Order: sequence, then C-alpha cells, then structure tokens
Amino acid sequence: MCVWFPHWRGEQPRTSGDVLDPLAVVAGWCGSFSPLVGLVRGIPPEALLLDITGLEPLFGSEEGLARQLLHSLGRRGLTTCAAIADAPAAAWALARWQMWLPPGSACCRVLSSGEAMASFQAPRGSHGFPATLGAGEGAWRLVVAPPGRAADALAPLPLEALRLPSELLPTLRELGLVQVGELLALERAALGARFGQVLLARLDQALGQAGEVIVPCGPPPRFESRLAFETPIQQADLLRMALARQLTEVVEPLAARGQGVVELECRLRGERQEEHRLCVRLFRPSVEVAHLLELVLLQLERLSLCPLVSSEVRLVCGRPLEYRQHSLFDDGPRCQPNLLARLLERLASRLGLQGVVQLSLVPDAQPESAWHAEAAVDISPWWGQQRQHKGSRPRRAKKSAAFGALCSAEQAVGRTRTASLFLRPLRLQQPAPVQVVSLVPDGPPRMLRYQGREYRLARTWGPERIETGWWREGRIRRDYFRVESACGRWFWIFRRLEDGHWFLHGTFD
Amino acid sequence: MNQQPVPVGSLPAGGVGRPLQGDAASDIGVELGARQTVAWLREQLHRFEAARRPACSERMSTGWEPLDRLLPAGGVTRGSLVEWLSAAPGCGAGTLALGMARQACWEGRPLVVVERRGEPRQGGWYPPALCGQGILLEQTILVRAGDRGEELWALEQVLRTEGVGAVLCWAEGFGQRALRRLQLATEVGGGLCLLLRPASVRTEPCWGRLRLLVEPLSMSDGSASAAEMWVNVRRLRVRVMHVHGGAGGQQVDLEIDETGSVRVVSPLAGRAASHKRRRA
Repeated sequence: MCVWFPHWRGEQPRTSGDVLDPLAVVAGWCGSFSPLVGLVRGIPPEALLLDITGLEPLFGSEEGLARQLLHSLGRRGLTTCAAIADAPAAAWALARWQMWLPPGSACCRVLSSGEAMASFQAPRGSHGFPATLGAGEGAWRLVVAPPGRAADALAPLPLEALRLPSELLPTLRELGLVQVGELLALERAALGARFGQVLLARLDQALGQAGEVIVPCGPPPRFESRLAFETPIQQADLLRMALARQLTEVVEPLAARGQGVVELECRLRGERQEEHRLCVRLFRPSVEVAHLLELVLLQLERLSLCPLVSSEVRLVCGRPLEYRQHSLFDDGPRCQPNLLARLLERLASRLGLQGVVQLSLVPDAQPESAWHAEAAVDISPWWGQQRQHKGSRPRRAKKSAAFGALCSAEQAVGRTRTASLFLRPLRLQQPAPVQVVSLVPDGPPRMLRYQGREYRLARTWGPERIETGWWREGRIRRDYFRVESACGRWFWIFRRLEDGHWFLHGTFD
Repeated sequence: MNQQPVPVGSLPAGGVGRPLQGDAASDIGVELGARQTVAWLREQLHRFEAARRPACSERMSTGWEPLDRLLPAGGVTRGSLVEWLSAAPGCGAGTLALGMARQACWEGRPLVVVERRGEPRQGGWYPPALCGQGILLEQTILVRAGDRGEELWALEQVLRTEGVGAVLCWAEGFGQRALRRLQLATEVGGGLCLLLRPASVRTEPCWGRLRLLVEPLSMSDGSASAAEMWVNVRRLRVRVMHVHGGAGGQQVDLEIDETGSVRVVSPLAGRAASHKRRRA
C-alpha cells in the first residue's frame, strides 16, 4: 500500500513532538497499522509505503485497514491519495497518478472520504485535489487494484508512473507512447533492445514480477531527558546543575544532526505533584547549552519553587542550524544579528512573549486602531544590512527615507494631506474628559481646562473629522483639533460629535 | 618663537602657581588666572576621559544642527547616556529625542523603546507618530516591562548589547544608582541611551554625558507676526544643563516646521516684530 500526500508542502502534521522530519513522524503514526513502513523520497511530494500483507484478519479487509489509516491521517489535517496493489511500484503509481484513471474504471475500485470527492473530476496532469473536506480535516481517496490485475490498472497511467529515467521519457513520447498500456502492448524483447534493461526492470517492478524492498523507517528520535531526584531539591545551584546536564543530553544528539533548538519545554514537578511548565522559544536555532540554561533560569526567577522531585526537558521544535561565514574585514560595531537575537530571547524569557513586540501600521483611520503590535519579532531586517549602509552618510538619502516613512504613515492612516511632522501626537492616551470653551458654538476651542488647570489656547489647527468604525462596535465620530497653549504646550483634543463632549487624546511631546 | 610643549600634568604659566605681583594682582588678574586654570583642568579631564573612553566612541550629530553647535566637538559620542528634561507633557522633548535616535539608527541599527506595560497616565508612544518622525518601525522593537524593576533590567540588558543604535525610555522615578548602572551599561554596548525625564530632577546630579532641558516657547508672546502665528511651526528652547567635557548653561531657541527642518530663532526677531507693531 502506498500513501501519497498531494499537499505535503503546504501542510505540516499537527504533532506535539519532534518535528525535525515531519514525514518520519507520519511514518511513526502509520506504525500502528503496518509492521513495515518505508519512505519514498526524492520525488516531491513525498509518500509512504506500507507492507500490509497478511493484515486483513486484523482489520476485516485491506480496504478496512486503509479506511482506518486514511481517516486517522485526515483527522490530523493531512490530505492523502492512497492505493493498494500487488507491488510497491504499482501502489505508488496508482496513488500518485490516480487522476489519470478513467471514471468508472472496471479494473480497480475508487473509494473516497465523501460524496464531493467521489464526484470530483480533475483535469489530467494536475493534482486537482481539494485541500480539505471540512474545517481542518484532510480528504482522502483510495484506489484498490484487485490481485493479479496490476497490468490492467496501470494501463491508463502516464509513462511517468513507471519511474523511468528522465532522459528516456522524451524518446518514448517522440514515438507516440504516452500511457503505460501502450508500452505493455509492445513486444518485450524489442523494448529491451531499443530502450535498455532499465525500462524492463521498471516494468517488472510495476507488474510485481521483480522484487522491490521497502526500506523500513525507524521511529523518529526523541530529544528529551528525564531526571528523578533522589531527594527533593530546592537549592538553585543543584537545580542549575541538573538542568545543565539535561540540556546537554538534549542538545548534543541534536547538534550532531546539524539541528538547533527553536522551542524547548521544561517541566518541573514538585513533591506535592504540582507541575511548573517553562517554555523557551528562540528566534534562531541554537545549540549553546549556556544560553539555553540562562533562558530557563530567567523564567525560573519568576517562580516560587517548592522542593522538586523530578525534572524533564524536551525538545518541541528544532530547525537546521544557520551557518554564516565571517567576513575578512571587521564590519565594525554595527548591528550583529546573533547578539540581537540573544537579547530578544533573554527579554522574551523574562518579560514573556508579549513583552517584546514589533510595531506595524494598520490602514485604519481610528487613531487607536492605526497600529498593531506583533509578538514575534522578525530579525531579518538586520540580517545582511551591514554592507548596505556602509560608507559615509548621504544626507539627501536620509531625508528621502524619512519622507518615505512619513508618506507611508500617512497612507496608513488614510490621509492624503501634505506630510507633516505634527500630524499625530507622540504620546497617545486613553481619552480623558476635558472642559473646553469656544467663542461660537461648534467653533474652535479657546480655553482648555484639564486636571484642575486652565490653559488659554493661543493657536488651534482643525477640525480634522474622523468618522469610522461603523462596522464594529466602537463606532466613532470625532472632530480633532491640535492646540497650542499660551505657554507653548501642544495637545491633541477632540469633540465627540454625538454629545459635544471634549476629550484629551494625546500630547505632542 | 616656538613655545615649549607643556607636559601633561604640569600647570601652565599664569595658572594658579603664578605669583601675584603687587597691585597688578588685582581682581581682574585673579579672575583671568582662575579662568585659565579652570580651562587647563578641563582640558586635562577631557584627555583622561578620552583615554578611558571605549574605542567605538565615535562622535555623532544630535540630529539638530543648531544643537550640535552648543556641544563640544559638535555632537555626542556613542556610548552616552543623554537626559532630556521636559518641563511638562506636550513640551516637545520627545520630538528632539527622536531626532537623535533617528541619527543613531541610520546604519540599520535597531531602536529599542522601553516602556511600562499597561496604559500609563501620560500615554504611551504612538507608533504612527514615530513613523511620522522618520523612525522605521521594522527596525524598532518595543519592550514592555511589568514594573520599574523589570524596566531597569530590560534597559540594562539592551544597553549592554553591542550594535543597538539607541534606547528610548520615559524614565520616571529612577534613582541615582540605577542611572549610574545605565551609564556604565551604555559604555559597554556603545549605543545611545535617551532618557526622557521630568524637569523636576534638574537639581539632581547627572550621571549621563549630556543633560538638556526643553521648554516650550509660545508664538503668541509677540515674537511672531500675525502671518507666522498660523504656520505649522513650533518653538522650543533647549538649555544645556550639563555636558561632559564642556560648559553648561548655553541655550538656543529652535523653530521646527512640519517637514522637520529647524532654524534658530534670533533673539532680536521678537523685539523687531513687537517694535513694528507698536509703530503701526
């Protein structure tokens, strides 16, 4: 049996464990259905081969086994195309190229996860597979070739289904051979003489006349370390030593595979069975135990620990290590992404992920909604910018950059006015009620009373009407004024149009 | 005639070691001698400081040209703590500090803004305004600390990191020891620490290399004509309260327009304008 994942690149298995090799993780899941599971690599997208010989009594039938397996993968969000055939090569060909099978084919049966799938017909040569059936559930389709009828089942498939060498395919096409059936109709001896033994070997493998070995895939490695203390410990030094040892045990085999830690989980269990869970997330993969230990200890500082009886360190996510060649000449004290990444990791460990954020503008006219804070900081802007800014500073370039930023800010807030340094206040606060005196009704403010102090307003700019948010709960209708007091302080105030009340919204510091 | 080089550590001729001669040792003479001595001592201190300063201490502009002219060597050194004292919210100190931050981060260095979590009483930094001041948000990191302890810890961590362009923080309630730690951390990292503080701390000792007081100036005091009154400009007075290696006390009146260009307000402009109005 072969299981092929048409959308493999777009979806990842929802796993709580190691994701160093996602396909190996999926192979591990399939281990409960077959004693021999192998990977098919090199031809993206990837597939799994399962030996299901003699397993019918356990699942009722081969179809029953396949249904359970595919449904299980579908629940994990994986879309699959599967096939059952006499030989691994035929199963792979039917799984991968099953869209070429004519509808209602008598030589094999097609089962799918739903009616929509059964009636779905895709154009030839495309995967043409809906990504999922429902919310988060992967669809599946199964082709079953009856025993001894592999040749009939393979006949409508293209020649690519035989895994022929790429240099042989154009020659066969020039001769007018497109489908496997057309090739099978030719004399075998002539095929060998004209196209070589490779073609015959592939044909034999597909028809089950030549053996093919499924290389078993072992269980994915787990990078974890458990330590049970002989007596409950509370001393920081002892805990530090224990964690350092555990981190080394996790990191060393990982580093040997060229991988680094991106996410790590540490569980500490107290003598009253209470559990403290610490999660360390890194911006770049790392295998430095001292750095990882520092991040764990920064989180430990915030906990009040009682005596601990056990500790567990587990890798949650790893990525290939990034190597960067040092330049011959010193780049000077410019930003070093390594140092910056470590700084951000330290800050995030102590302050939490929401404590280190990156800002971006949102095209929303409402001042409170005109920006967004993202917890995941992208350090890529600092990667490779070293040389870009080398040399003396061009003065005009600086001005244009500043102006560009200004324009983008204006676009973000939906304005088309002239760029202005004083468009928005530097500090924005929750609207605070103020009392305002105007000479004429609905006119510009002349006097402002705030926190018990009166400010005579010497200059005012406005109104700037902002009326937005009708599609959400907080609809606003405001007239904003920028005002300068007689002593030179600048405020940003607005009048709420619904009731005419005035509020202070920010200061131009 | 060539002057003999004065060895470092020896007093110049006419300094405190010069004996007074009869009536010529008048008040003027004493004052001149004292001034020379102070200048000499300042130069010596400057040399010692220069030797102690880290190698990466390159000079950089404050981002405001008239302000550079008030400072020794025309700017500030990297690895400096700069205090901006604001007379009150809405005085414009943040605008000037951001100009300096923009200057420190022009090479693509990150700007780190540290503030307390939650909505502070005076409000937090408003990102669209930062963008309007020429700060690139993709190179800006906002650090939200829970309390003052975390804020100080985060500041120190950031300042000790080499390659950070500038750190910006509304520093309220920081003690002398904390400020000293921040100055030392800044020297290690080589960035620029910009602390915005209330003007009420002006009498406290300054641990940074530069302390500037920003006061707003009103356009309605008769110094501006009626036409100028409604132009999009604001006037600020910047007073150098303390500067390392130089003398404090200088001040300059700046006029910043909406495009960010700055000019010095002549002290005579106001008088001339008011005189014209009186004649009219």
